Amino acid sequence: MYNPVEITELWTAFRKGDKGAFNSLTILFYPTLYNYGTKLTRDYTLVEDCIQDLFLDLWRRRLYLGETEHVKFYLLKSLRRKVYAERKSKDKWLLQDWEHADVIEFDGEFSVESMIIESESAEINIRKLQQVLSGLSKRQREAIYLKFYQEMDNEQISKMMSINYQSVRNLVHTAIKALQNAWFTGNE
Amino acid sequence: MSENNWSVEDLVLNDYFRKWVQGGLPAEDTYWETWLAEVPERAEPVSQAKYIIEAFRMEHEVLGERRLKENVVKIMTGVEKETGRERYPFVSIAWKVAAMFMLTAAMVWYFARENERTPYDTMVEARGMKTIEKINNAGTPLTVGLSDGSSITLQPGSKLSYPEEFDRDKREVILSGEGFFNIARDPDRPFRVYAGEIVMKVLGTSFHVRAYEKDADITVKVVTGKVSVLTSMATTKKRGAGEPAEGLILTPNQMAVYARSPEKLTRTLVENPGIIKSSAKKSSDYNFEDTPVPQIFRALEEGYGIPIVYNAEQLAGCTVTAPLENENLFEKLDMICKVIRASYEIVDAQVVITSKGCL
Repeated sequence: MYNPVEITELWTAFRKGDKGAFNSLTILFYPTLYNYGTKLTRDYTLVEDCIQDLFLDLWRRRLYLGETEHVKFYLLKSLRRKVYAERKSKDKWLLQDWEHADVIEFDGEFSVESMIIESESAEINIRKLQQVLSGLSKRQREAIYLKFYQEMDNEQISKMMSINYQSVRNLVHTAIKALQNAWFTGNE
Repeated sequence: MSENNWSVEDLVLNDYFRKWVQGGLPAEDTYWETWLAEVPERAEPVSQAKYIIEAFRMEHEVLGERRLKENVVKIMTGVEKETGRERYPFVSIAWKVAAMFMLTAAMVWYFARENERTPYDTMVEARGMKTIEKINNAGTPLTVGLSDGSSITLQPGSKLSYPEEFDRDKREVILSGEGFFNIARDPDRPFRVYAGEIVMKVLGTSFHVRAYEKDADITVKVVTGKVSVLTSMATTKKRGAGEPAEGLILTPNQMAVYARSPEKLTRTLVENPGIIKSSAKKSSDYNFEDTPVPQIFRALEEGYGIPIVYNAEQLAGCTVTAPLENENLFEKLDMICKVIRASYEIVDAQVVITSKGCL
């Protein structure tokens, strides 16, 4: 795998027009982008189309891009924008007041099912847990996903989701608290 | 927050702790075990934090390796097209003339570079012995017979260099381009093929090598026997003396891909695996009727020589009825997975089945 310095080097080389470096960046980040994209919409073909557009746009605009140490963040943020723009234009005909609808549509699901299979402790109250998890908002799920699976800090998450720093903390905090409460009641 | 007073939330949000819970730390790193054992009261928040991290586990969609490659190629093809299109709309005559000169200069430079020495030339020179060189300039494949009984079929535009007579303890040839190798078995004299940045070592096998200097990668596909593939001295030197050379052993239906930039050697399956010659299986053995899935997977493993990783316990009760005699391996897997609601991916030349069990 690449370390952050090598990724920054690849990025610099790509901006100068190095196709090999660009190819490496594509291979390196495609799976991550796909992982995130498929949580933003159930239309997986749309995700593949968006990723392709994203990389081609990147190549076209390479001369105008800046140095960045956060290549992954930059790419994920671009993908999020693209997926929503695509969905918006697709849904425009169905849903007239898209502007007022909740634009955040994070569809990632927690896999309690695998927990049932693998969990050794019988006392875990799965039903209760399932209830709590399905009660979490889409914003909460997205914040947790970005934190746990994309290893972003609160600052990055807030930029990613276009919400303020304190909101990120609250989203994560209430989600953890909700689960903690479920743990107590589940064990009594 | 002091280390003695970690709240459940602190633990859940700590990257290092999460890594430990998810088994991502090396075995030598016993920081958390020690920390936990130091104070008995820590057990409670730790188990709660573990539970919450577990609960936040998510389902992930994974794109198959083949599809991923296709998509990356699509992007790079788009990039090639873009680069071709980048022109300036308004150009004066003077600039056009200048551009013509530039183009001529570029062509001269390009062809001069063409004549530069390739890894093949360097290696042939380094041998310093009496060698025969076969160059296939024809439009059809050319088969070359060697003194040890081996034969090599060269594709158009490829060349092979080998000694008139092999040494007593080794057989070595150098390839540039693409060829199919059928090597006579001789355990006392290993056979080595040098191709660009990699070396293949075999005792007696048949395999296919594609190593054109202009390609982005080199591929080796095995039909019978075993082939070990190593990155050659030149690339090892670049890597530094301390680090070991990359290498892997291929069996039938496996393929090695050496990428030139960045340098990387990986193993995967050939595009269309066939039933291997050394197995007793024939295509009619793949018509299944109410056959338990583990038995089907065993039949596929044996016939194609490819390990299949799956949860045997979970799939023990599943059966499949399907005539799959005429389907290729991937079509067979597609069909079986569709029936048992599973999916598969290729990881390091193995088939990995993901299933939730069947109803």
